[in-house]
Amino acid sequence: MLYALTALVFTLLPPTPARPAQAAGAPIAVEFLPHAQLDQRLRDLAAAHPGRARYESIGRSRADRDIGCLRLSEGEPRPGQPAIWLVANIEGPQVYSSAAALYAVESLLARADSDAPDSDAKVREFLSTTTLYVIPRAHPDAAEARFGSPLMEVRATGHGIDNDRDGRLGEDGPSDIDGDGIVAWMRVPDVEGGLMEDPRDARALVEAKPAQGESARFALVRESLDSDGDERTMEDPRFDAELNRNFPHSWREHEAAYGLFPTDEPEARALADFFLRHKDIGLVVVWGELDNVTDKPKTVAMDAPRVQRIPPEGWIETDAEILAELAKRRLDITGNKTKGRADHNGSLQSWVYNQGGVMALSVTLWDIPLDAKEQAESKAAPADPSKPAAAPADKAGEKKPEREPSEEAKRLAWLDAKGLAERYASWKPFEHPQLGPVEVGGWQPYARTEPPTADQATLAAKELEFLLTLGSAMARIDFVEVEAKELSKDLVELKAVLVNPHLLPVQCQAARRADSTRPARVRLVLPAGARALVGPPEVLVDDLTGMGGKTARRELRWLIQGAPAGALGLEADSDHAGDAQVRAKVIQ
Amino acid sequence: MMLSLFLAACASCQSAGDTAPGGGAQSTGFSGTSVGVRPSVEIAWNRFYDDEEVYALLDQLAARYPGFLSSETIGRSVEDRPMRVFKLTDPSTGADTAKPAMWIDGNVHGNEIQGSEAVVYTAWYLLENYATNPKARELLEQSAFYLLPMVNPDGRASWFRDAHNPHSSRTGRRPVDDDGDGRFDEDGPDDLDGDGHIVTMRKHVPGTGTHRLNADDPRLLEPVPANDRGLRGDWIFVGTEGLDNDGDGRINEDSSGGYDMNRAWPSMWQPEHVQFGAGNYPLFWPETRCIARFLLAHPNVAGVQSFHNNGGMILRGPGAEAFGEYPSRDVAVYDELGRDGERMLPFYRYMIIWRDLYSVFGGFVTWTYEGLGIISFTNELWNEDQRFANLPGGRPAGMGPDAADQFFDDRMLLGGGFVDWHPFQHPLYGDIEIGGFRKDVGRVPPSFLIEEMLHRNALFAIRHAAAMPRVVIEETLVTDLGDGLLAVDVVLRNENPIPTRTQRAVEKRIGSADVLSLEGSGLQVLAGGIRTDRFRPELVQLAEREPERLILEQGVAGRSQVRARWFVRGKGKAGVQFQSDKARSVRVEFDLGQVGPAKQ
Repeated sequence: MLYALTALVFTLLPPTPARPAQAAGAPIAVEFLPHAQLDQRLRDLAAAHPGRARYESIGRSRADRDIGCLRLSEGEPRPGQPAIWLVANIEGPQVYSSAAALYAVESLLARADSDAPDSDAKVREFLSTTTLYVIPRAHPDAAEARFGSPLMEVRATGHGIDNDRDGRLGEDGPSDIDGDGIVAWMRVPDVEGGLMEDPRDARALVEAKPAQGESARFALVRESLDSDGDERTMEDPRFDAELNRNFPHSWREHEAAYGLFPTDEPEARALADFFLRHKDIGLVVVWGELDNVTDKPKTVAMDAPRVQRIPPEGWIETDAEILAELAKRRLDITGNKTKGRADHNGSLQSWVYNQGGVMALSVTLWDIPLDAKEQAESKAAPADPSKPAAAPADKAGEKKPEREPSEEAKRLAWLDAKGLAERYASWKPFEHPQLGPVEVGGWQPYARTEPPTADQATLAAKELEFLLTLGSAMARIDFVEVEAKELSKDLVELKAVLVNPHLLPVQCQAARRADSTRPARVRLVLPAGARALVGPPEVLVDDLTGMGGKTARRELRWLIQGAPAGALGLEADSDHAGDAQVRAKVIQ
Repeated sequence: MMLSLFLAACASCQSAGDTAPGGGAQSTGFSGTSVGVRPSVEIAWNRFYDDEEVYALLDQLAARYPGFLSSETIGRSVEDRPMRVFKLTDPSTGADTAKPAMWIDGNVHGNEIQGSEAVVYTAWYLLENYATNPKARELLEQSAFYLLPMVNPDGRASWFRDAHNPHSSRTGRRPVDDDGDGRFDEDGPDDLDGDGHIVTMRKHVPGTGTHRLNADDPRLLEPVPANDRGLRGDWIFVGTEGLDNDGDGRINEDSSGGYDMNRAWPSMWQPEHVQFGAGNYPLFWPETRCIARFLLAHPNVAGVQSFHNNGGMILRGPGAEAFGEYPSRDVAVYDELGRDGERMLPFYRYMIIWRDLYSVFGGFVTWTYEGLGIISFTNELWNEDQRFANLPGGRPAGMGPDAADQFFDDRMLLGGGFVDWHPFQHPLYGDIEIGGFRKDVGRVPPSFLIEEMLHRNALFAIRHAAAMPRVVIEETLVTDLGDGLLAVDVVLRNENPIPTRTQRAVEKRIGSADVLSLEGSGLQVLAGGIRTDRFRPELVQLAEREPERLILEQGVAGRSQVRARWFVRGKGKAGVQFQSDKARSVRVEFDLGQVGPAKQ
């Protein structure tokens, strides 16, 4: 057992020597790097690709680590050039997403080089028309636990409260009680603990249903001591606030995980300010725990009545259609149906969409599949023979309904089938210094967030292929049918149509509701001495919805005196849908 | 000119004596009743002061009363003005942080200027009276005041410096693109005639207008009623003095700033499209964030007062209906203070923000209560009805509001508040007239009514401060239960109306719980807890652990007692200590050998 756990440490912590940026032509590996190495790698990449990559620290974490961002673009972006903002590892346990983001960046830079062996015109086209901001690790303080000792998952690194109201702050958090280098779980004998062994797989714990004659035997608690002698463990961890709960939309006051106030966490404020500074961001993609591509979010009508001034929660219908189309394209490319958490309260994504007015895709890269098809491929796992399942007291003559296999049992079966059983340690008796006999084991850190080593690169590569298709989906304005017709001497009628023939809108419905992004702006260019008799010199266009046509046109007209028809022109600009200049075509 | 007068005032007050607040022959106090008594710092309370002058007044008080008044710069405004909190307390009875503190601020809206003078007045009045008035002395001994005269110093500076109307410069000065055209603050009102005032524009359009001039007073525009008699107006009202600065066909659509720092606070915060002025996220502006940080770092703040203008209101939350009502025990405290306020402030009404005014998300005093658990009020200083005192309807009989405004200005200010209509050639509207009331008419009182407004509001805040919790250990009693087993009974009393922990703080577990502890070198604490019945000593909620350190999550309610009983063995000196975020710590020593009569 000890051996197995030690082996696990090595499995999860591959030696990661620092090395220079990717050598040309070498296959790109998915690497799990501690913050110092990851940050250095990002800086090295920027130094090695000065025309394409630029490093920026967007701020510093609570523990004073740089939050690094790499901007990829072929040269300096044009004004209004649409940008995609990729944020990964915004939840501590999602370290794999940062490795995948680093993989994506290295792969893009390798393929963008026209002299490189794996040179890729598609990548060059993408980077010439689209800017990509990548923050591989939004939450460096939490992710660092993946590289520290003891090995553990950390979600909260922010504002701590006195959870147990004993006047002491943070005295009872997770700890490696058995000294094996890992903070896992304790199965504590407790008839009020709510859990019992799964009859299908004794390793797994399931909720006991007293109404069906089942009785609870265990409580499940993180591995922890009772440092303050209050007969409780884990009741007052040092930190409570989680980064991706600390944003203003649907934020919950006085719930510890949400923090003291929105953007109190320095990482949250840095991310929020980065978004506000970069008006060129037209789409946000977050790789992490939250999901709105596999499980679709609730939708609401644009004109749904407000309740006490507040609009109902959900994606506005037209936006939701675009999201669904993006999700479909992604599924076609990646085949990845991983479900994540649906509850977006207080997240970066919900703030960006609902208040910032920019669509945000929430993608969970990996979890142990529960999918029936994948499950069918794995053989049913025999229960651990050393720990026979506790036979529930079966009252004579009483027929109990057969339990469906629990989700936990399905996950364990998948682990067994994949030869990854060490990711869920068998329960091992342990004499807890305060609680007495308990068992230690269960889910090992990162067991459910890191795909098997063999799949890590494939999964990241597919996700990158989807990202590359987003370049052509971004909103881009253009003029069509720009015609100047001389009505009489010295009087010209100018007509033009501003279009956005792409999937994403210039302003999504949430942006129009929140009035939080700038509409496209059209300006009339007149030669000296000319004037518009009809039509303003400047028109703001806010309804280029996208979806390749529905309301993707705005017709514009002017009546102009004092200029030849051939001298008239129009200019348009926008925050994240490019710009356009055109000279009118003279028609008779 | 204004500055030189001010400096002269400073010079005169420096010669007024050097009596320390602690006493001295010359100190006669300035309670407001003493005819002929001269305060030691003379401040003209019949005018308003710009941002630098406000700080200078407080600095002058600080210099006169060293140790009692000190300042800390807690941050800087958008235009880099210091955000200075003045701390007022009697230093001989302990540091400010060891006492319950009253937070008082003003002028979050740049045009609502009189709040700052009310803050200064509060400090001035308490300091002037410290030496002679036992209530003032006790207040500074027992509590502290955190005084932020200007939440929005940039807005104030602009209001004094620039041309404005009574309603402009409410915002801070961070540029905002109000009209979404990519340009920031490019088209605000313009002082077309350069007279230093933003007033209004009207145009004569014979036979095609909507308004006519009042027959008795041609300064007044009045609408022509809808009619079938062919009666038409000769005038139209064209809006606030201004131009189409950016040539977009609109006038005054993107003025300086464009937000509201009283919509920026975390409790029930809502974004811009729900709540105008909210900002991109709570505490977005540096002024708001540094205040929040200060308050979060000072859990001893036990009362909050914010001074605004106008309308004569004593406001409390909730700001939004969706909140529901505040917990009943806290409402009782609010009601007691609010009703007292209505008596102290004639023309002011005690109101609930959402119900009696309008709904507001993200207000300051709603955060200090809902987020921090502190009893908090906003006062709207000055009610125009005061101009006509007890006349029914707040104006002379038979006079409309506009006529009453002109009457008051003509008779009581000799017309000094009104810019009379005068012609102007406007680039878009052609021949127009410009005129109207100045920025310092309407939302601020005329000079001769300023002092009364300041005094009544300052004394309301002082009354609130005097209600902050004050806990005493009223009684310690040792009872011999036999065989060397002793019972120690302790009675705590909060003498004031505000609880050490509001019901909101208890329900949301805000801040630290109070702690009542018992210790002594020869003492073994066996068990202990809070008594639930005054007459039955056996009814005790025993602490599950650490009986020598009882956690009082409920705190000590206003004007009430908490009784604790410990079971101990030992002898010699013992000490009982009470600690709370929002009350001074108290400690009483007693001898375990001094046994009262055994009761069991």
